[in-house]
Amino acid sequence: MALGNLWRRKLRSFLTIIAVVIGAVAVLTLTTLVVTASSVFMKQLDAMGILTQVTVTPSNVEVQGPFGGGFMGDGEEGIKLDDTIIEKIEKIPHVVAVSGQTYVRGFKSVRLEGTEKKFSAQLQANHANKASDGTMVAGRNFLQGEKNKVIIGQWYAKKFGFEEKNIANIIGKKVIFTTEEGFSGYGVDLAQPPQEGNNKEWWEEQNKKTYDIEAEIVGVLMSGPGTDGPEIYITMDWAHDIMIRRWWEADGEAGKEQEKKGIYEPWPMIIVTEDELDKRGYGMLIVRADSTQTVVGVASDIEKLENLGLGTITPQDMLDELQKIFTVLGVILTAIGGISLAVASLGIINTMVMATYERTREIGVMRACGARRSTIRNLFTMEASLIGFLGGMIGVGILFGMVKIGNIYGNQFLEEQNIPLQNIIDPPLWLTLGVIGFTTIIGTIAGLYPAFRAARLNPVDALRHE
Amino acid sequence: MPIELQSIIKTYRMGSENFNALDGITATIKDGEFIAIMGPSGSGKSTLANIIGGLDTPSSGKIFVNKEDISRAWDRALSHYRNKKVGFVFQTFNLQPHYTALENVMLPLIFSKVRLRARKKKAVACLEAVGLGDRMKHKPGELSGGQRQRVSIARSLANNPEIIIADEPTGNLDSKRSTEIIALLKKLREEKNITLIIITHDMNIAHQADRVIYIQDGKIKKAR
Repeated sequence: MALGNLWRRKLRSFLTIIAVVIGAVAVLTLTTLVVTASSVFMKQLDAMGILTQVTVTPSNVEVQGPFGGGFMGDGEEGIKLDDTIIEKIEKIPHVVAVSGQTYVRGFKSVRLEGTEKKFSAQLQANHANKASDGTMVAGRNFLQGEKNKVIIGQWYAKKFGFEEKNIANIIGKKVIFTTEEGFSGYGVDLAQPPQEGNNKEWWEEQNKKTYDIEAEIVGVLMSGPGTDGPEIYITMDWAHDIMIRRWWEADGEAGKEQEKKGIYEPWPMIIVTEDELDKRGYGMLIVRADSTQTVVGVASDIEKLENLGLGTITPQDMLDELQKIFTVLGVILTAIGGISLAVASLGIINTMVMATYERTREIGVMRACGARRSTIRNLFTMEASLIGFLGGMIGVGILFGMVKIGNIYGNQFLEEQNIPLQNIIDPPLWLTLGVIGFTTIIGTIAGLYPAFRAARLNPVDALRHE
Repeated sequence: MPIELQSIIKTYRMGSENFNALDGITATIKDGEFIAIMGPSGSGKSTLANIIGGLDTPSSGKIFVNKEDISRAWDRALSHYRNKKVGFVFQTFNLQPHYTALENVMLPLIFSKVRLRARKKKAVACLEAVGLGDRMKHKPGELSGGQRQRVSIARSLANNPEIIIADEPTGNLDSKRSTEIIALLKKLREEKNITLIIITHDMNIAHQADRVIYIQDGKIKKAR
C-alpha cells in the first residue's frame, strides 16, 4: 500500500528519492574512495613485502616520520651494524633472512648507454636474499655476488624513456656510471706517481680524474612507498668493492714531513687501502619475518638482542600512522557526503508533510473504514522508510555501475603502470549494506513527524477537509 | 445491534466560548431499524451520526452498542468497531480517486487483515450486490454520481456491517438517482438485517423510515 502511494505521486517520490540517491552516492563514493585507497596501499605494501619487514637501525633513538627516512647514511649514533650482528639476528625465530642496507658513495652520475643525458646516481646496496628482494615490474632480483648489475627504480626507467608497455625492453641494457673525482675504488688502478720533479699538477690531475663504469640492468623495481624516488640498487658485494678507498701515502717519516708541507717531490710511496663498509658497518639492516603476525615479535626480539641497543622500525608503526590518516580522511569525507544525506532527509520530511496535507481526506476515509491511528502512522512511516530504502538501493546500484566502469579504466591504468593488481575498487559489503540501512533509518526518522501528524488528525475533521 | 444513547453531550470550543453541538441526546435505536435523522444545518445531526459510528466520542454521556459502552473506548477498540460493525456512506462519496472501484471497496478489508484473494472476492461480491459488477476496474472519475455512491455503499458493505450510517447520501444526486440509492439501501437493509441510519433533508426519504429523529440545537425536538 505504501509502495502504491509512492507510485501514485511518481514525480515527487522520484525527486525525493533522487535526493536520497545523491546523498547515498556521495557517501558511498567518498567512503569507497578512502577504503580503496587504503586497501590498494595495503595490497601494494603486502606485494612489496613491506608488511613482513623490520628495519633495524644502529640505535634505538626515535626516528620520526612514517618511513623513517634520513638516517640511512652514517654519522649515526650507536653500534656498528656488521655481519656478526646479521648472524645473531638470523638466529632469532621467525626470521627468514637479513640483509644489510647502505647508501653507496663514489658514483656521481648515471646515463643509459647510447644516450647523453646524465642523472645523479643514488645507489643503495643490499645483500641479495629474501630480506631485500622486491617486486619487479620487469626483470629479476639479484643473484648472490653479482657485480656490475643494477636494478633500477621505475623513476629511472621513466627518465631513460622506458615506461609502461616497453619497460621490459630496458632489461639487458647498460648504464654507465661516472665516478666522483678522484675515485679510487672498484675498477680503478692507481697510477704510479712520477718519480722525478715537482708533481703538483700530476697529483691535482689525479684528484680530478673520473672514471666510467658500466653495469647491466637486470630488473626494474615496482614503485611504492620508499621506492618511488631516484634509486638504483646494487649488491652488497659490489658495494664493498666500490667503497674501497685507496691512496698513495708517503712511506717513512721523511716523506710524511714533506707531505705536510705540501711539497710534491718524489719520495718512496705505498698504496694504503681502506674498506669503508667494513669500517663503518651497514647503514641499517632489513629483516624479513616469516609472516605479518610474527613481524612485531621479531622486532621486539631484535630490540632486546644482547642489550645491543638496536632500534627497529616495523610496518606496524607505519600502518598505525597510515590507519590514522585514512580514518581521519574517511570521517571527513563521509561527513561531507552525510551533509547531502541530511539535506535529502529534509526533502523526505517536506514530501511527507505535504502528503499529510493533501491526503487529509484520504486519511479520514481510512479512519472511517477502520484504520487505527497506529495504522496511519505506520503507513506514513513506511512510505518515508521506503523512500530512504529505495534511495539507498538505487545509490548502491549506481555505485556498482561506477565501480564497474572505474575498474575497467583502473585495470587499464594498472596494466600500463605494470602494477600487478586488478579490480582495485571494491566497495566493502558492510559499506553498501550500511548505507542502505542508514538511508532507510534516515527515511524512517524523517517520516516520524509527518506520520505522527497524520495519525493525530481527527477523523471527523479529516473527512470534512477540502 | 441495538444502540442506546444516554444524555450525549458534545462540546466544542469556539474561540473563548463553549458550544454544545449535542446537548443531552437520549435515544434508543433497535436492531435492524431504519432511522432518519433530520434537522437544520448545524443542528448536530452529523455529530450524532459520527458518535454513533465511532468516528467521534461524546464529551459526556454514554453510548451502548450491543450493551457495550463505546463512549470512552480506546482508538483500537473504536477502530475495530468502525471496521467490523459500521459502514459509512457520505454525501461526497469520499472514494479514493486513484483507486479503482474494486480497490476502493477492498480498503476496509485491508484494515481487517483479510488476505488479498479473499479481499478481492468479497469486494467483487459487494460491487455485484450494488449492481456495479461491470464497473470494477473503473476509477471514480470515470463513474457517474449514482455509480460512485453505489461504490461507496459497496465499500460500506465490505465487512458485513450491522449498522450503515449514511450522511446525506443523496445530497449530490438528482432525484432519480436518489430514489435508486435509497431503494438500494433499503433492499440491503432488509436482506442483511442492517440498522440503517440516514441523515437527510429529504422528506420523501424520511417518510420511508421506520422512525424520524428531528434534531434542533443539539436536542431532539421530536421523534416520530
